[in-house]
Amino acid sequence: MFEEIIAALVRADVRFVVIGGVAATIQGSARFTNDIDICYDTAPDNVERLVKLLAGWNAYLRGVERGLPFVMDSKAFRITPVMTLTTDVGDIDVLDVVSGVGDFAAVLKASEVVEIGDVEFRSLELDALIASKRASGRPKDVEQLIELEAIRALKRRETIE
Amino acid sequence: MTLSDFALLVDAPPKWVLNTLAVLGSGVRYTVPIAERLALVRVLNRDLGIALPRAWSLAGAALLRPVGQSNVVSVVAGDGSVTVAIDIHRLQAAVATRRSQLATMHAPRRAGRKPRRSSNPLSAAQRYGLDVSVLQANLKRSPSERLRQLDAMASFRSRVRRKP
Repeated sequence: MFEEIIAALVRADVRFVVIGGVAATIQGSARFTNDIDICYDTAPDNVERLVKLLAGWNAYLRGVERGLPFVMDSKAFRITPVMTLTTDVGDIDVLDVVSGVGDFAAVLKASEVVEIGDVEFRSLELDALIASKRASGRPKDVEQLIELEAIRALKRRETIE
Repeated sequence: MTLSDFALLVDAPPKWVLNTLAVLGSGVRYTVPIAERLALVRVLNRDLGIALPRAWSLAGAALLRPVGQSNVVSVVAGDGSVTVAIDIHRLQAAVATRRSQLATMHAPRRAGRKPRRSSNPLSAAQRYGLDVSVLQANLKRSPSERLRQLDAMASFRSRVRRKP
């Protein structure tokens, strides 16, 4: 599911960085997540490609009843910086800014290249993930923050040893 | 619905919502139709400089009108020399998108002070009840192995159903 979504985004030439729970898993988190969060470049050509891909996956709003007004186009992405979607391939949240990190340029700077098979993509680094969890301040992020800080301590210890 | 939730639907700071409702008078409830109306009021007031009571009235009229195929309604503002075209469908879609965010992602900020940074994050994790050995085992895997493990868990979860 996640691998399929990432590979499709890469194939569609969408500029994005994996953030949130999947990025935390890549860093070593043991927490389960059901959706993938990405931060995307808001350049018009990139948004067009993202919209086309999501429309092809029959994206619709998650957590609300079917039949509500919904527009999946570039203008909608300009108006709403966060979209929480359910699609044929899984749940996906698309954001144009990450709290505690910044816009796509800042997120890109705070990301690293990850490989799965022959697919290369960017995922948020551990320090930036910690900063985003700290900034969001949601109760559910507190546990994740504790876990991520423990992972950072383990990685540092590993480097020293 | 809390003020914070309602403000998210309107796409305005909670303070703006409170001040606007104070200007418009009491009796306005935190509902989705009112959020749609206030979202439109905010645009009319902020972007076009229309006074709040007039914007409230224009927004009410626009949302009540039967929409045509284009979903665009026109309202006459000012002294009649200005006509504003409002895409009601897009406005309602934006509110619906924020409703989805509210249902799945949004949570009010944690009250009180931010959690203190522990001098020993591993002890803090153990005190919290996290199994550090699981994290150590995870770190021995490559990032792609971790991602594939998560994928397998997600796939398992989607296939498992409780027997009725």
